[in-house]
Amino acid sequence: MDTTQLLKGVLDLAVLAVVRDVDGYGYDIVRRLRAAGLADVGEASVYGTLRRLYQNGALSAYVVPSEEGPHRKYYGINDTGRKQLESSTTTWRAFATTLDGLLTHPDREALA
Amino acid sequence: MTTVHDPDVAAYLRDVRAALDDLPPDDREELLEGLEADLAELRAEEGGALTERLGTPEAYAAELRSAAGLPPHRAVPPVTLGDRVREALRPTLERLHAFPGAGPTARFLGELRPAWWVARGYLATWVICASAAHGNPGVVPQLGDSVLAGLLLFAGAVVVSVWLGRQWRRAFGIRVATVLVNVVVISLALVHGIHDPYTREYHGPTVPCCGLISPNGTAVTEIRPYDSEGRPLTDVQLYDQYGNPLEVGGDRPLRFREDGTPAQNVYPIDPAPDGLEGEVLPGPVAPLLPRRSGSPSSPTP
Repeated sequence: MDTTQLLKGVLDLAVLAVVRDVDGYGYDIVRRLRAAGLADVGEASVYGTLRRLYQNGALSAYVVPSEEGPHRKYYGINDTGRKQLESSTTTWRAFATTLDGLLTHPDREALA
Repeated sequence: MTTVHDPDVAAYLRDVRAALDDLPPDDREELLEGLEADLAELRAEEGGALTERLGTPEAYAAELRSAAGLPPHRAVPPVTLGDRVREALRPTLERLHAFPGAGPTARFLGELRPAWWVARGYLATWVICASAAHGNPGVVPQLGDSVLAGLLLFAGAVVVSVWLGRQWRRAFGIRVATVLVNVVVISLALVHGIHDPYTREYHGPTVPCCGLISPNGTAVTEIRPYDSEGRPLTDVQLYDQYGNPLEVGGDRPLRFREDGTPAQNVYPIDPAPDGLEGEVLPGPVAPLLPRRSGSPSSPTP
């Protein structure tokens, strides 16, 4: 199964999860997602998602000047983002449980 | 660890920026903020060309837009008729723009647009009033006999004209409609204004299409022959140089020749001494001097 399609639906949730405790800049967040096992995640998808979450008010952003090169843009979660993370987590868990059940006992689901 | 002024990073960044050129500058720069540092870090960490690692800058930009919830570059790609017309006119327009003074002239004409909108409304009103009146409706257009109706029509026409002008950039269909309105209004104004078919009414009576014309421009309706002694003649038959009976307009009593043919060239039509109604008689006609020998075409010695 193509995981990039699956990722599209849950990338918001994944990104919010990896910045829950520590702020990060774009490439740093890409690295964290990959380290967590999302090997197929694309840089541009993550940057776009960060920008959209920021626009929607779930993330705050700040620029950190660098002495040796271009500035870095850090993203951090805020209260709106935490609420979104919480509700998305609930949704995801219910969804995953449903799908797990379907995969484990397909007959019972079909008869119900 | 970052690499300062990596040419590969700069080129990649430039191409991504170009693929976002349709976005508002602030949005674009916000989207790209921090990207250079990240690209430089990626390069330092993994080496190799960025295109191998990230794909083409265009694909990268497309993915960025998609994930950020922004519309794809040029959201409406289908080529419309308007696009094609614009494309066909582009070289000509660019050449026109290259002329010295083209910019200020175009700006000046642009500033005159509202004046043209009002003028167009006036022309449309004038054309409608001229059509309704079958004649020149005057400088202040009257609709029928009412100046008020003309002015109300003028106000309405200006509103429509200004609306058309302001919608100009909205859609190709509106531009086509506007051009059509302009052509119709201007050509009708020219037809009514220059080729004024009612002008003749102001310049005297209608010129007859055929028959004899008197020196003052009116049709000849009666002929009064006199003999050499100045006496009025009756029942004179006249023929032209082609042998055709010479007829003038107007009612005449029905006459026939002995061979049964109708005689429509007998003069005077009304031999009564007073003549026709409104007719001016020549008064006493002086006798002729005897004809001199010689050419008939030289009546004077």
